[in-house]
Amino acid sequence: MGAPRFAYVGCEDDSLRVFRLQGEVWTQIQRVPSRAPACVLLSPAQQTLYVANEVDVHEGLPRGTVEAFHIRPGDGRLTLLSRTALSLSATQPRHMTVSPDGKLLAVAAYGGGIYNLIAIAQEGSLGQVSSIFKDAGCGPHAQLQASAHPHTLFFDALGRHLLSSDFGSDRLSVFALEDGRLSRRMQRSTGEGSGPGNCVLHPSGSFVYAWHGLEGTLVCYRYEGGTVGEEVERVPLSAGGLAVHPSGRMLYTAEGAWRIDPGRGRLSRIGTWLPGASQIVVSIDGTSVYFLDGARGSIDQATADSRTGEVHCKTNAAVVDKPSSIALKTV
Amino acid sequence: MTIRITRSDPRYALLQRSRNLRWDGNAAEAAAEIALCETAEQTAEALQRVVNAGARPTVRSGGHCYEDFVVNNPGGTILDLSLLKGDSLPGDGNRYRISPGQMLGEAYISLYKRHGVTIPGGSCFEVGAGGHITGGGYGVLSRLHGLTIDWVSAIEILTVDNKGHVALRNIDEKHEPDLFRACRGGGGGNFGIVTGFLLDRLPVAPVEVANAHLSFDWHSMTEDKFTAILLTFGDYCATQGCEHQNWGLYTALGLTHISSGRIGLSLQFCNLDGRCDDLKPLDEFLDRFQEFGPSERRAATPGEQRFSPRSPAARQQSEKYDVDRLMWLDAAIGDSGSGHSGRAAYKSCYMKKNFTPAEAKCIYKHLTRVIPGVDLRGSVLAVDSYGGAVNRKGTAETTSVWQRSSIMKLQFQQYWDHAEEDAGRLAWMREFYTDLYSQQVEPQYAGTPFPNEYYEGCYINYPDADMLAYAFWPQLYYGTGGLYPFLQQVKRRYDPNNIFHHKMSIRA
Repeated sequence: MGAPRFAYVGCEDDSLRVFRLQGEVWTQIQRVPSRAPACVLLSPAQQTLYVANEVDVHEGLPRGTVEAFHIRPGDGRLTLLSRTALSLSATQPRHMTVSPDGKLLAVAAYGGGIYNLIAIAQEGSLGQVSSIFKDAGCGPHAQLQASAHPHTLFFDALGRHLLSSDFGSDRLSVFALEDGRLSRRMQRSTGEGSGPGNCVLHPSGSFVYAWHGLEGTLVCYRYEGGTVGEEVERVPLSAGGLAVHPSGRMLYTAEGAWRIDPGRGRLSRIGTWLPGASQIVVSIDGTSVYFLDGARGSIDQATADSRTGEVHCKTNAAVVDKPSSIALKTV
Repeated sequence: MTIRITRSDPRYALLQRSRNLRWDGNAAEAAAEIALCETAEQTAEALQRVVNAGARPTVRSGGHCYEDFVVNNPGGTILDLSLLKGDSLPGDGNRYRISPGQMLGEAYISLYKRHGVTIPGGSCFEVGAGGHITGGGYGVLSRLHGLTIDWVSAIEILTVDNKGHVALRNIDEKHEPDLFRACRGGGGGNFGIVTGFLLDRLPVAPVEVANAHLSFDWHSMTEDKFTAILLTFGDYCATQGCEHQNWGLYTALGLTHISSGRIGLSLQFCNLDGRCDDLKPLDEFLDRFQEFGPSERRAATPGEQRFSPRSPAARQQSEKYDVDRLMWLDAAIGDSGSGHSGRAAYKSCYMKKNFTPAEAKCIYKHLTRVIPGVDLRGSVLAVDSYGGAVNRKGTAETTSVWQRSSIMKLQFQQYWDHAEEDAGRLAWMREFYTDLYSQQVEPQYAGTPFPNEYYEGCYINYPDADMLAYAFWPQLYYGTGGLYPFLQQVKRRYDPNNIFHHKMSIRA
């Protein structure tokens, strides 16, 4: 697997845009309708694209949807495989993750405070919701934290646990998968009014970096054996996107890059750039970093050192109308 | 201690089952557990456990919900309150108490034998008080005494706060009045779990009632005659029926499909003093229908006849008509069943005016429609007289039942047994309803009895998920005024995490 060949961009105009990448040249080759595609995600084998539709109502009921698109080998074009209605009250799904074995899709419904698990069929299509976890909680911010708002979730390295941040209730949770069902294993408060949002797991599986959006900080927590542990580091950070270089030596944020001490998780700032990226993606080979700026409608690209993650030559790769999420296909 | 019934328990199949078998049998949608709670404390513990586990609670008292709001709860827990029946009085001893698990028939018996009073109630013995009253509580005595919710003075309710903690609240007009009002007719499954209704006073129950039944043979029916019967019924409701001395007359026109053979007309009557000494109002009502050649033979099918006394009835000759004169309690509990327990579908409409000829002809068209391969027996449009005490001024502002100007209440009903019939029957019913309510509404609301000069929308206790196809469905059930925004505000305050939700719950 090398450099990205195709980019899939969810846009607020209810579309998915497919780009063919040739070096730094992006060519749009397809536009596919999709309602409010807040999150796009590739299956582990990169043969299927999953999309979370951040909507309040589907077929008259209060729930969002997720879609599966088959990716045609060779030209990367999309064909809709399935559309699955989430459970009642699972509104505004904004984030999702696929289990390492590619058999389960986990969805975080921000609006309804609900997590859904959905089985993935052999050919990549999605079945019905197989497990529901309804969360409850709040924070001190009356408007933004009146209820639980699951923000980001991901499987840990072994795929046994799901980690999530909850912007509304100021906590990180770890869920266990038992008999195909979600049960909360533990939860850790991130502090009153902190509003944890984007978070990423260090490739070693030992640290979680969480952006406390309301508080304006980036916090590193120790993670071990399905438990979010002590706080390791806390630095100021006012804007959103997060990504870790595959080497585990560099953390990219919306405001700049931080060198990571791989053994201790601690951060030291090495570079800054203008804030704005709501999503940051690193190519699997570690040679490119992509910055999606929804407000500016741009996708910037930077080359990176595959060993250290240090970035150079950040340039604009594409201009897209109101992009919300991006996924990169390398195979 | 809460009784927990899981899928491995032999009782699960029975307790998970819906009364409406349209919602039965889909394992993927079924609840993982039924928690039978016998006290408010047990209910609170069970609810807290469910919330902590991230499961969804749905709440059932009698299990008569027309839609799947309770029973379809994938992986969740049904909190079954059918054993929460205590009706002992609270400490002050000056109130009446109704528990959510009481069947209406049980409440009639308890209130009457202990105190000689009653709630306006419903018409089916087995309907649970919890859902019935939170949705308004309309019944045979409503024209005489209003809705049950009009009489409720205080409510005990479990809510889940913003941190996920269960709390028992005692609410009334002075304590958390917004939640109190929302629970008085806003519908079940929205704000919390009611564990008790308290009533400072209740109307004295009638001593006796007079029941009468007429029917009209479909074989001799014509469109003109059918139209005349409907307009005669509606005219009575719009005129004489509104006069105070006639509030004790409750009438129901059972407009069956032609395949059922006969159209039924039933009534129950008592004078304002709860006796039947003067049957003149009854006679005047029946007089109106004599020109249509009714039969006083009892009707035989559900819907044709709303009151079916199984207790000894004294046949009595009024000046003109045979009536069954019954002790009120015998009449109230006589229909000790709960209607059909098979597959069913329902729709509703409140009417502010008499039928127009066009409406009557439309109804005739659909009730005489024959669709090859579709058996429409068991289909009835029940037209109940409404108004009277229900329409007393001031009640709309203190409760969440806003429909206080109607003179008739329509309930479209269908009952059948086999899943293979679903598609044909449901399609007929939808076409009937859509056609009927596309004539006298603005084009953008076509297909619904959207509130206007003719209609007052639909009854939340007759929920119809078909209405969810319309973005304006909340206005059908809660009106176009400030009630729905008010309920949304209450929802945000008292159930901020939307723990209680179903297809038609209040959207926060």
